[in-house]
Amino acid sequence: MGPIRISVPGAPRYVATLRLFVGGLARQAGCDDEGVADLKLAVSELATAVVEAGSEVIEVTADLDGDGLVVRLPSAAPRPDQLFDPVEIARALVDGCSVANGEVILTVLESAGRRDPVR
Amino acid sequence: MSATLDIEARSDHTWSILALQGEVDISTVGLLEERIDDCLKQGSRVVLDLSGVSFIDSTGLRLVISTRQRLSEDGDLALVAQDGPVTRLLEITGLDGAFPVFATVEEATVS
Repeated sequence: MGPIRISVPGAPRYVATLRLFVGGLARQAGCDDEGVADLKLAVSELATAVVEAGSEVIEVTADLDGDGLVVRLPSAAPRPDQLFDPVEIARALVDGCSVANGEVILTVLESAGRRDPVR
Repeated sequence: MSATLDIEARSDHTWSILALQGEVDISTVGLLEERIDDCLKQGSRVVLDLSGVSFIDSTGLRLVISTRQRLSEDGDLALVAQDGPVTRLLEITGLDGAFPVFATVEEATVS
C-alpha cells in the first residue's frame, strides 16, 4: 500500500479530523489503545502548532509498512511564548520523531507498547 | 468532524464545579475558558471534573495553568481525573504532582 494523504484547512476544528485519521491508521498498524491515544496526542500537538502559526492548509501523509506506521506533517516554527514544545511532547509519545525539511516525521512500531515519559 | 465538549456547571458550598464531557483541544478550549471565567466571577475555588474527558492536549493544560495563576491567594483549583488522557498528559509534560488530582469531586471538595 502506498502513502495515504489527507489535507485539511488550517483551522482549529480540523485538528480533531487529523486525530481520527491517524488513530484509524494506528489501529491498522497494530497499536493498542494506549499507543493509539499517544499518537493522536502527538499529532494534535503538532497540528495545533501549525494552526496557531497561521497555515491555511495542513497536509498529513501516512505510510503503513510491515513494521508500523510513519506519519509526516508540517513543522511549525517555535513561538517565543509557547509553554510546551510540541516536538518534545511528540518525541515522548512515539517511537521515532525527527524534524527535517519543514516536516515532522513520526514513527510508531507495531510491537511497541506505551513509552515512559522522558524527564 | 470537529471535537465536542459539554460542560455542566454547579456549585457545592464554596466550590464551583465544572464537569466536562468530551474533548479539550484548540477548537473547544475557548468554551472552557468562558465557563472558567464565569466561575471566577462567583468565587475563587474551582473544581475541574475531567473524569469524562476523552482527549486533552496541551491547549487544555495551558488553560489549567493560566487559571491557577489567576486565582487569588485564598483561591483553589482542584482537578478530578482517573488514569487516562489527563494523567497521561500531566505525566508526559512532567507536571504530574504540580496539581492536586483527586479521584472524585467529593474528595476534591473536602480537601
